[in-house]
Amino acid sequence: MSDVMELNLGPQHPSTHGVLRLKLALDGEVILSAEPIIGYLHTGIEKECESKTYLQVFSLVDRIDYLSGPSEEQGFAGAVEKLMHLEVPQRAQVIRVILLELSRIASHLIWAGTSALELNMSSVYMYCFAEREKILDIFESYSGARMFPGVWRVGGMSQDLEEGFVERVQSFCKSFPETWRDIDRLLTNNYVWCERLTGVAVIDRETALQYLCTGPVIRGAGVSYDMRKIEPYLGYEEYQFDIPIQSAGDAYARYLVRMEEMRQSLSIVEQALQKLKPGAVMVDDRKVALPPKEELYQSMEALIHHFKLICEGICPPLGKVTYAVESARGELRFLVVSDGSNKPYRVRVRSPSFPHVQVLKKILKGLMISDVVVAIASVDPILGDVDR
Amino acid sequence: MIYHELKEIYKDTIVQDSEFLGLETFEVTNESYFSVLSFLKNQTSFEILVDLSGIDYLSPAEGTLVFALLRQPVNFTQICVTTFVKRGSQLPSMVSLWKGAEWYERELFDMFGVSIEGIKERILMPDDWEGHPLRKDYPKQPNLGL
Repeated sequence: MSDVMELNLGPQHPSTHGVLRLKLALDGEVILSAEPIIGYLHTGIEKECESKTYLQVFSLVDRIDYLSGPSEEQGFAGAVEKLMHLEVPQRAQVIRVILLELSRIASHLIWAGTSALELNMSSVYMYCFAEREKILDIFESYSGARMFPGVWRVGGMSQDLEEGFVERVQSFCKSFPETWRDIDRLLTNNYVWCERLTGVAVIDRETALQYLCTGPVIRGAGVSYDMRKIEPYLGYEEYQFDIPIQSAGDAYARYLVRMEEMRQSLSIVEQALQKLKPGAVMVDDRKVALPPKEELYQSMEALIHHFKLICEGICPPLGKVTYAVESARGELRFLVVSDGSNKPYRVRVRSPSFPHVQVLKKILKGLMISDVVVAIASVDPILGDVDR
Repeated sequence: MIYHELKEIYKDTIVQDSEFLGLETFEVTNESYFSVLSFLKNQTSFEILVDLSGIDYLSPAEGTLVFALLRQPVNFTQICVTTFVKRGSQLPSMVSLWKGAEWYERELFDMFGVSIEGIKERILMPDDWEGHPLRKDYPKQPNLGL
């Protein structure tokens, strides 16, 4: 006769990527059932957004998915721009694409590093973090902040690129493939890595659709599903890139998808650098963008606009809008409801990690306890993104 | 077209249909909510549930507008189905259509107090929390007694 043992994994546990708690029922080492319990990192951001002006919301949404801040900012900015029918200048669009793709690489690097660390491969972790550091340095040189650039504004960017930015990105583009190859050599055909990942935590197409999975998880299950292709934004239709797809649906398939995505992202960054032409980075609409400082001393109108924008902020027209971006983790969708005032009536964030934690309930059943960390890492949840 | 077909079959239960910024939206009654979604999923292959949440209103009536955003996996057409749930009314659960809807429905209950068949647990807030934070009559600053 076997006794069922209950085990709480987390909320404080080094391999749960934040404060995730799993209630496991075990028969020996086999998992009979698993119940993810979330909410430890709930910060009420959706509620908080309702009492902040549109500009202030940016610093809140940044911190939802703290590893890919730019996607969150683009999600919110894009939604408001869609509502206001604003066309972002070409240069600003290209800068956004560069930052978005760099942040995708940074996020996948963290994922690869921590996943490897959990399987005791600490050198991979070091390589990944050293490479990510370069991306953070690029962000820092542009915006002054490392993880949350905070340069997005409704209608463009807060400032133009400073000198040397392009060269820095170029030198990153040159050095990254080598690191990528290193990681590839260390992991892809590594016996331990393959043994631990292959056939573990299988999410097939049906499960992925039933559990609302998106991003690398659904692409690992053989569905070509990427917001950059489905609802192209920021001119993604003009870039040449593939959506990597694997059909196995296991942790190893998701690993291959993410690795290939890094290369695709790098190619998008290189194409974007080619597209970077001089020009404005902010729309020329005084109801949205601050007037240039020099104008304030001569023009009464500019002063009024400046005053109104600082004191009141942007007032989008009445309406409900939904806008999606492909973040590093999947489909990130913002629903913004405006009542015509300077604060959003409702901001809904459809975060990609939320359903990915829910699906753990299904995929952990029948696995061994040592596979739990692999399963969690393979869906790449960010608990800030889950709990919001 | 699917929209015409839907309008034809459910003409008595569609409260309002509108199109805004490229998104087709149908507002249906609480009673037909489940059957409309089940029709869309099983008959017209809107297999992907993208999002399920709500928007709270105090006027003209107090309640939550629950919306479900669906998408086809092949040509990626989107459709939004909404239903206005007055305070105290109950909504059928969609877990039999999408297993993953469970957490979204728990969140609806947790944040808006929308009562949904078979959903009793909170998800993000602590179990003993009072009130439903995303309701518009929920105070932004809690009274901490300081």
